Amino acid sequence: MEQVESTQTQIKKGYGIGFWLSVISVVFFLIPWVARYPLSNLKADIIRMPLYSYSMGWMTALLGGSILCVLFRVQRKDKDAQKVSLILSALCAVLAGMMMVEAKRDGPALLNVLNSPDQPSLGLYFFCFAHYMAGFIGTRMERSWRYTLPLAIVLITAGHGIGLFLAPEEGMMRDVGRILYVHVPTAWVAMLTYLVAFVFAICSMWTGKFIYDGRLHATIEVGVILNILLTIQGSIWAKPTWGVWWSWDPRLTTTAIMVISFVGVLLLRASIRDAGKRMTATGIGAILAFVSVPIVYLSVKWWNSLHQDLSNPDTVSSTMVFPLRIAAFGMLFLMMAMIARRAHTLVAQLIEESTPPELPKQKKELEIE
Amino acid sequence: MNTETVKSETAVDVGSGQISGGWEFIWSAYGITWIALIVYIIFIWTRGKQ
Repeated sequence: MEQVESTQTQIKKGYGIGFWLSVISVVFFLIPWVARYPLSNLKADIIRMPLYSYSMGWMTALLGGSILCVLFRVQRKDKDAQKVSLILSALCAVLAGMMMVEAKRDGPALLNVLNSPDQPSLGLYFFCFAHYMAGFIGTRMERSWRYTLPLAIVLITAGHGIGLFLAPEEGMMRDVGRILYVHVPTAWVAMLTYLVAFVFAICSMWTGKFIYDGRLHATIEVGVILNILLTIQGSIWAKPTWGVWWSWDPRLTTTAIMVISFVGVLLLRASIRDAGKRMTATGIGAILAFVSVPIVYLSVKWWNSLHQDLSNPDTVSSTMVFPLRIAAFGMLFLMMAMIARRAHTLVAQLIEESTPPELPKQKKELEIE
Repeated sequence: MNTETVKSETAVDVGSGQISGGWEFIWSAYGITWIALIVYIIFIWTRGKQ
């Protein structure tokens, strides 16, 4: 009993340190990020000044969560968790590599990669992702909605409010362009949700634990909800701008394939009764379905598409970037809250299912006269 | 109004490519999103309490 308590305390401490470290890193991020918005004339100077803040924040974000996770799990000598931590670290390394490739287009400087003034949102997403995963693996995920849900409500209200009433009209689309403040964040977060599902799929396949299976189920469910919403929003936006509700455009078609793939995984899961087989099928299905995500993302680059090309803060007016980011973070925290709460129920159900029913106590043998 | 004037006015209207109005589309997109998310949140919270 003492051993169990001590382990729980360790996790709490680990998660606490990870959390505060992440808070520090987000402050490092936010200083230059906020400064970048209203003072566009001083942009270059402001960005140059907190160069190392960016680097520090980015690195802390990316590595902080995962390294802490590794350290505390290694301390626990939990073999499965060590594997999970390794996956997380590898994923972070891949993301960092992708960012380096991305940055090379603008300039070869390594500092650009760490600093990334052109793509600060990417760094922020990495921060959130690393923190998020650290929290998930730290087994405290199910309660995280207590702070992510209120945060989400505040940020979404602010982001949508600014987008609807304060942001200027878009040059060509005029007011209809305001749909983008809800559509774009939903699209970003939906894809990120599938990325989280991909990680959980690997975790559940590797460890064979119900906790990851339940979390995977919750994550796919939330991803599908967001994906359906983004498709509806896109369709509503397409009508006044393209003149049609739907077109078999590469971006739209691949998005439809993506949502059908993940709905298929949920249906497949629902059709299997055996818990072990269900876990394996869901894991494999999610990994296969995830293939569609990068295809959707890059579809506008690979094929001629009606849909807008990939955008970044340099191609979007700063007055539009601000509400977009606020709304995007709101959606991100909402996604975290929804997954956490849903996983709480699903994991409990799976554990209950897998626990053998208590046998009735043997009655005393009848005395034979 | 001569033919030239009509032509140029039409060209301005069509060529500008700007969309006017469309608030019904905006409210529909936001409304559907908010309602769907609120319904899903209520669903997962009530299921969680059970």
